[in-house]
Amino acid sequence: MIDKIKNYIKSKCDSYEIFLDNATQQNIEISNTKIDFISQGSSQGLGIRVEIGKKIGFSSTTDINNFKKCVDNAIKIAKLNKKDSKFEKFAISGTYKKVKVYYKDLASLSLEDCHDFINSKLEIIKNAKVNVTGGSYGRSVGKSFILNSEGVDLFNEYTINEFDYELLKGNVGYDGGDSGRGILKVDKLNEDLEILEKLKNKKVMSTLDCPVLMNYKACAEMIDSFFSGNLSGFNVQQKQSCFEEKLGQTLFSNKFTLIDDGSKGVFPSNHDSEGTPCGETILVSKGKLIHYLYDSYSANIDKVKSTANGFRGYASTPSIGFSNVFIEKGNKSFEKMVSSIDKGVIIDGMMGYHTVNDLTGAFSLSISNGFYVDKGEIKYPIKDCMLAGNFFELLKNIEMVENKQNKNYSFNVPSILFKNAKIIGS
Amino acid sequence: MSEFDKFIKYGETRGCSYVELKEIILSNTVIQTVNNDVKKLNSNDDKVYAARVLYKGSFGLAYSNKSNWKDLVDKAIESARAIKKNLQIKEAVPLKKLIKTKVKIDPSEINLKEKKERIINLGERKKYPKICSLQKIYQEALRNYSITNSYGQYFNWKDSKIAFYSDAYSKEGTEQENFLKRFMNHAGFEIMERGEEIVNSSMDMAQKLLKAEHTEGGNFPIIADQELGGVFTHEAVGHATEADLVLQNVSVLKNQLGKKIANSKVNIIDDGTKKTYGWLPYDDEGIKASPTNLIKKGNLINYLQSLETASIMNVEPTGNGRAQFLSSMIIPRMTTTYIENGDDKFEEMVSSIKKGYYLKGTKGGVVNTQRGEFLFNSTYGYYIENGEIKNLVKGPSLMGNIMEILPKISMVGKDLEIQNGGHCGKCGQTVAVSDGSPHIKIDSAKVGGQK
Repeated sequence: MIDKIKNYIKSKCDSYEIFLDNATQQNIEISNTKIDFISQGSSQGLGIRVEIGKKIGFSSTTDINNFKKCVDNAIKIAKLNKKDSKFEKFAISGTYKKVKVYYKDLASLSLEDCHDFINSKLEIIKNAKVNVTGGSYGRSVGKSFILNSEGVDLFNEYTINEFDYELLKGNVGYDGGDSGRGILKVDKLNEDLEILEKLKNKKVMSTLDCPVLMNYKACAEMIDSFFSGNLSGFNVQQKQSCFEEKLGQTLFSNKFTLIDDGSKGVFPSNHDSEGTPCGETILVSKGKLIHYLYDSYSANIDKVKSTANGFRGYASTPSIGFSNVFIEKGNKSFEKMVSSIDKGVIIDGMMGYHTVNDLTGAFSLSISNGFYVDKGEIKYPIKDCMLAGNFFELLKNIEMVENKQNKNYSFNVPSILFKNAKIIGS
Repeated sequence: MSEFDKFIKYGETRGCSYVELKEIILSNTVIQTVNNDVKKLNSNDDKVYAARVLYKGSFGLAYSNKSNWKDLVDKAIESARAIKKNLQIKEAVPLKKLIKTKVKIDPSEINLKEKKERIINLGERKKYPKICSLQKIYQEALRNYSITNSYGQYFNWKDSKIAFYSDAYSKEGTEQENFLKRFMNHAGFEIMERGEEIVNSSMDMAQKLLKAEHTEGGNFPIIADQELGGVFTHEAVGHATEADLVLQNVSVLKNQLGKKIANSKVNIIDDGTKKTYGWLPYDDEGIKASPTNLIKKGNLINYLQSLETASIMNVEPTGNGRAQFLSSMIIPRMTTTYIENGDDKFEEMVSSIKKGYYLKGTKGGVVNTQRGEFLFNSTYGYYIENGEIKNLVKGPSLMGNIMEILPKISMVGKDLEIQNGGHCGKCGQTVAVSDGSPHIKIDSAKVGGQK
């Protein structure tokens, strides 16, 4: 099929890109510690990007057999578009790592096997006298093609699965999960079940300016909320980022190093969805901003190589985002960090990350799970409190960084102790 | 016998007590411009087919981009087989309903070039010198949606949905701000007449916010405008009334039916018949929309139901069974949710506050219905001192607890406005909703702040 499309398209435009994806999915919904609903299906789609005299057009369809209509439509759109003088070419090929993206053992599970896998996890939770109020498991097995006029010609078979659960014991809730390309270990489940015990009998604390220890989950969410948009090379070029003209400047504590690497982590890939080879990009090195994230279009504008951060489905053109994120670990154990706090707070999770102001760094978020610490000891879990401050300022004042990277979906980050932030309590 | 009927019969002969077949044919257009450049000019054609069955008391679902109905029914039965439930849904009468969204200007009759030019030219950029970047996004979805089921019902909705966003970025010295304005509705291209005003007001607010002060964090009386009051209604009340959450024991409103939970001035309604972005004449299970009173004179009187939750709770479905895609599970969701008009005057709300805030607009919110805790963000506001509106402030977050805050709504205005709409996320699914409120006064709320 891909050859037929290529033969049809190549003489009609100056450059082109063909993206084809075909996947089957199984989804299992959980409610009240039981499997509640199952759906299964398949999806397929074709996305065509063309360039004619620096005019770009894009069209997609789920009706792959009717690819001619899709190609003709992309060409029609390109012809009536404005010339984009900044466009140079689509992604270029390179040396690809041989990262495993397809796990046969996951792909060969029957619907019943998936069902049994989830039930085995629910059994563990039930035995701990904990309820799973809601949750879901999804598995996707697919094939994708990316082919363009610059020589990218890639075919992949891939597997993905994700498991999320919402735990409840008494009136204490806690969310967790696992995701990856192979059969999931769900290795954080025991830890999550233990945290539930510690979160019993939450108390209100009074308003306080104090050191704040953000655990890896909270750090991952904050980094995602404040950095993914600002680091996008496209946003920087469009003056929609607070990191414009800040390259080479030391903006944060020298204890903070931020890395993006699509070839590692829970969803490793050999290339992004334009076909650019994945690899390591150091974004912030010891507090200094040294690189942005790019797809092929924005990289050409800045005369740099794409960092392989162009992501898309068949129905859209690429957008820039993080792939797998790493924060360099420090040298203190989590326990050591806690014991160093005179009066302060540990944050395990917050609510409302999408309401932050990522241009200014300002945020005020509700602390869903946290603990009050007095003289180096965890005293009690807290409720009805907010954490308010400026995240970029917090990152200038890092006291300690944990000595290990913890996995939280596509983030691999240590917990970080910040010198001072504001807790709004009673 | 139509093709649909043939496969419904097939499902029934395989032992299904109910079969539902659906088809969506969708044509999307996206135009994204940044400053004077076109960054996206995309067009999509999607076809999706799905079968949902009730087999031995459990629902099962299968979907595909190919209309292989027999295979879909078989897979849906396979999905249902693994679940052990005892659901019984109420039989409905045969019905044929053809719905067409009213449009004055059919978007498919305006060529893409003209649309693109219109979008680029919106807004008087020169009048706003501190704007450093202006992004506009136009999204058009033309959808032909059909549902047919075992009860001889057939629904077809030819819908035209348009959303427009204007995001202005301002800069002065080291200060940076942005302000997003949007509107969306089931309508034709005529709604783009509002485009000019939306783009200008996003640039105006982005400039003004450069000079705005931060709020002081703490507990204060606040007045919420219609937009913020709307998102308050949605987050602090609406979600906790969704029957699936009640059944999962994760709603603080479980066991509260018939009880007084809010000030007597508070009346809250969810109504799918309102011609807003949340309009849902028939839900995804073919249930006709009607207004549902959630809170009447402060008393909780209803939950929002799907066929399944209504069957378990032994009540009538409320027309709130929704799914984002044909591939998604149908669950109770809001449509257009609002607080009814009261009779308090805005001026009296302001003059009753010694020290507090008047907060406007919203960047969205979130709720944990199990703990009853919500948080949402205003986009900007004003400081109130000794009964007078003072300086502009950058929009802070508001946090609170559902059961504690509802009795604290002490004043309800008479200037109800329903916002054109937004998107609501739940269980990984996003659906179109609207919400609204008159101005309301809350005696004490936790306000986030940087001061």
